[in-house]
Amino acid sequence: MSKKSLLLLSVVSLLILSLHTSCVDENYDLSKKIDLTISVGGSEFAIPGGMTEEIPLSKILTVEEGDLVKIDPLTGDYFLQQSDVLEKTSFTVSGFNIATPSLSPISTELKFMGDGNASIITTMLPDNTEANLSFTALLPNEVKSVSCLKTDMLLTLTLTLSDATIKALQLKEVAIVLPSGMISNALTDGKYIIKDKQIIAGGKLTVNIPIQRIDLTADDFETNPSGEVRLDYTNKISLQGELSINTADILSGSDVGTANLKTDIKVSHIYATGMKGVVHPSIEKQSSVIYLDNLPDFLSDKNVRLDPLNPMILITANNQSPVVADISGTLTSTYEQSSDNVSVPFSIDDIPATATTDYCVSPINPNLPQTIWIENRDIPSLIHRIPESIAIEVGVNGNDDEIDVDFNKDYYFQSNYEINVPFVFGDKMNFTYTDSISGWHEDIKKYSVKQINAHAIAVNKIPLNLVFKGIAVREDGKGGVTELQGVKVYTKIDGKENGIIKAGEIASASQAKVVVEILETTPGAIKNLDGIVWWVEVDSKEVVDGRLNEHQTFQLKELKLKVPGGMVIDFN
Amino acid sequence: MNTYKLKHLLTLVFMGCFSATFAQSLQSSYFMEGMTYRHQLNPAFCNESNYINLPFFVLGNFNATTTANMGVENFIYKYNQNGYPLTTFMNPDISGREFLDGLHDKNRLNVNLSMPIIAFGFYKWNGFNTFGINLKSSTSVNLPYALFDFMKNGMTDEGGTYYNVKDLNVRSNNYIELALGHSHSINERLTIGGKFKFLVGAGNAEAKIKNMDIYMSEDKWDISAQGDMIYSVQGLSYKTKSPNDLGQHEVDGFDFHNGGIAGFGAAIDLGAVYKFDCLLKGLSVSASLLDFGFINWKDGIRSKMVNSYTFDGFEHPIEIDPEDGSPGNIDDQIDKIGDDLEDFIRFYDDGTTGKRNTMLAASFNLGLGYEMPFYKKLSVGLLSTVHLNRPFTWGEARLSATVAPVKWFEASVNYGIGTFGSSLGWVLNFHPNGFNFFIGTDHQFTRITPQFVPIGNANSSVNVGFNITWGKKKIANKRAQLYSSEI
Repeated sequence: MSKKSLLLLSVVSLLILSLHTSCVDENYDLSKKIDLTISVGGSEFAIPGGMTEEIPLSKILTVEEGDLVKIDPLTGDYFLQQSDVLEKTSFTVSGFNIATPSLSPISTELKFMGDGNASIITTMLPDNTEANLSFTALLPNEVKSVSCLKTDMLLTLTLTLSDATIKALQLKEVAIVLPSGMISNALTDGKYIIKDKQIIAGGKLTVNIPIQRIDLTADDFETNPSGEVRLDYTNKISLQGELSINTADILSGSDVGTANLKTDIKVSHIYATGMKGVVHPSIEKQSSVIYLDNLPDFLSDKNVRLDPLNPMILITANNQSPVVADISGTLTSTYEQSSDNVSVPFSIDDIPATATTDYCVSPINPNLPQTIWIENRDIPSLIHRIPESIAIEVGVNGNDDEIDVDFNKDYYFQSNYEINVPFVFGDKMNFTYTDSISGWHEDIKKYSVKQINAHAIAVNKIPLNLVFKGIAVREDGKGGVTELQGVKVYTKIDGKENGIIKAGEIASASQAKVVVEILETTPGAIKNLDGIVWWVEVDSKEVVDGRLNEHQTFQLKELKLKVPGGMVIDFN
Repeated sequence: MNTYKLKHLLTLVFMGCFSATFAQSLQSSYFMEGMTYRHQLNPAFCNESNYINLPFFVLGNFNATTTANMGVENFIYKYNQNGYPLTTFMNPDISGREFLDGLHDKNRLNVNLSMPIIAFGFYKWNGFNTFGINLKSSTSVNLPYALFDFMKNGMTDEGGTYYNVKDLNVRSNNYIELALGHSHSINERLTIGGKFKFLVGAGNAEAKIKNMDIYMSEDKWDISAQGDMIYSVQGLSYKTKSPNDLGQHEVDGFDFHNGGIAGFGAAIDLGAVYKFDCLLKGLSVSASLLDFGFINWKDGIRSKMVNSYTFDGFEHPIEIDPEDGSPGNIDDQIDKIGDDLEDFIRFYDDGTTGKRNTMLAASFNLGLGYEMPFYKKLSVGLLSTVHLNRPFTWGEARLSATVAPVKWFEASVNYGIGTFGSSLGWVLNFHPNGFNFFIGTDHQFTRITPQFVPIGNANSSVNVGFNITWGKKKIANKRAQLYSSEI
């Protein structure tokens, strides 16, 4: 090969080598790490979401066993209920001692004049065959008047025949006439009849008459200067009737049968066991406190203002006494600041004796079955704000009706009471319901977005106006969350910030366009987003019959999740 | 994605990559009379000497070629942030415009194989005769613009964004050809040539999504796609799952047993060269039609997807505090979206294809050469090539300057422009008596990564060949005896 050829070959070889080495771009070294941050979705990225279920109110305002807020199993209506039983109030009406009655004996001289032919000679008891009965007693204070005294009394009459010229005296029909107000089972037409009895000379006849009741009149009482009322009973017991003797019983040597009939009247015992009259028993006032401390969170906030239309105090009065009672009480709502306390008096008159009666004290008649409604327009003021407690103090008094009462018998009065607040509100109610969604951080930390907008149509069948608000939160490192700076949450209803989703009804829902914007204001902050704490400011302005029912619903339709600018995912 | 789907793609990609180690004939050598394998570009071309490659020695004509109208820099960008020197086109700092402006409606990548196992040529019967047993493979990928538009831009219009992805294709054709060629000078001006090729199919595969409609709006995502995959590889069968409710068997992988010949076919190459010395001394026109033929494949396996998926929100209203198993559970519904999307890209066994014919990717070359009157060792040429392989058809025009300063060496430098952009080619051909060595490329890369991957369009080829030659003078004499001047 010539020198020319060798030179050519060398030039060509160098040319090839230089071509293949001078073109290497070290900046495109594929062996080095390549950033795998990617953007997906596009500038108007949106995800259709469908709709939520019709979320029943029972899933929002959850009620657990033991909560004060309850749901009526029949109607589904919400109500607040707390009840208590007042201590049993017992009382007795003291008996009173009756001083030993004073009685005067009756001594009647009898003469039997015969005509010589008759074998039986009769005579009538003289009109003045009578004795005075009197006794006294001091009435206890609670007894204001007595019209009838129930007694356990035994009246004993002993008839003896003395100084007689006869061997025996026949009591054909003799009536022991007691005072008209003295009642005994042994009497017939107010009289005790001794018929066809015989008294042997020197012998006696004893009659026992139990007295069950003594009717009294105002004249039987007198009030002393110290105000004590004294029973001062005085009356007469008389004997009437026809006596006879057999002429054969006239002792020899006498033409006329004479005898002295002596009647001794004694009260073997006298006890007052009861009475009919006016009694004002001494009953201690009873009180109780209901603490409203098992409230759901949304009612626990001190700023909650309820405007219940018809809160009710339901009282079941169990009056196991003969006294027709009147209740007078006070309900007091207590707050952290005692100056905020609210007291409302109430009264119930004429609670029937020996009966259990249901009452409802409320501003509006709820027409509860077998319940007597007592109107009280001040009850709502007790619950305009949820108090810490509601105290009740009840006094029971007898009225001036006459009653039958047994002395020294235990009577009692007991009342159950219940605070029952149907969640039917006026137009001044407002509260805030707070909830949160969290646990996003683990998923979202690989993603980067500038903004997330959730769009939906809210369908509200709850009779409350709703204003949604929220804040972004991050993990606080202690198992909880704290506000995340650099990410703002805006809520727009029908295009307005702080707009309202108006109250609706089951039959007529209200609808509103809802947009929740989660906006990153500090670059990268959204990577720390763990969720949203959101709250709903609820009020009842312009709401008619704002009754909360578990079947009312809230629904989000046409859900869309928009991510303007798309998502950036870090696959590095 | 199920593993079998990945296998589908990998199978096709590997077929392509394998073939990328070989390539078709060197276009840059079209006007170089000393090139041994110039007859592969036009069967009318006669060699200056007899030749034989070293049997089973691939360096007889080693070609590695990729052609594409996209490249690394379309998908990998300089970044130099956060310790990363590079990033992908999906990075938010790369604008959609910047990325998409570098793409075409059809983004193509072709790789080809043409490796002689046995090849020789000799002058006899007043012409030049060639014989070759060649392993050939061509694999093409078409990635439509809309696919990348969708990936990069996603939803761009609040009222809804629509993408239509058409002709997402991967095709691979692999066969062995037995080629018998003869070029014959009709007269001193006209030479014609032809080749007959008997083809033995090794395997054919095509996966395509004919049409995929993607509609994204804030109210609805709607995707529908129709596609199929066909494999004609002897012994290959699908593994399938139990039938679903519709009786369809989901493809779950492949089984391969008892491989063999997948089909037979035939093709021809035709060519002609005409010297227009009568018009202009040194001017010649040539034309050729290559690989005009078909392969009849035996039974292949087919799978198809005709799926649509609409998501207009969760199927069941979202429940608050749902019970276990409740249909409204949002976690379960999100999982279901994933399942549905996975269902969407499932392929189902569609039985066998029966016998079927596939056309080869034919090429048509038209060349215009001119020998410089002031320096006969320098010539220029213009070659126009059309490669017919729908939807991977491409075209190119290449202007060459060839110089042969000595008898044993010639060189060509050329510049082409076509479907895959512009390219610079060159060839150095050493052809003294006894051997022939050449090296060259149709696509000289100007920028490559340290891993030798072209940064611009992935057009690259390295062609190297070494063959034993003899009879140079004898052939020249015989041809001189026939005509007063050499073709």
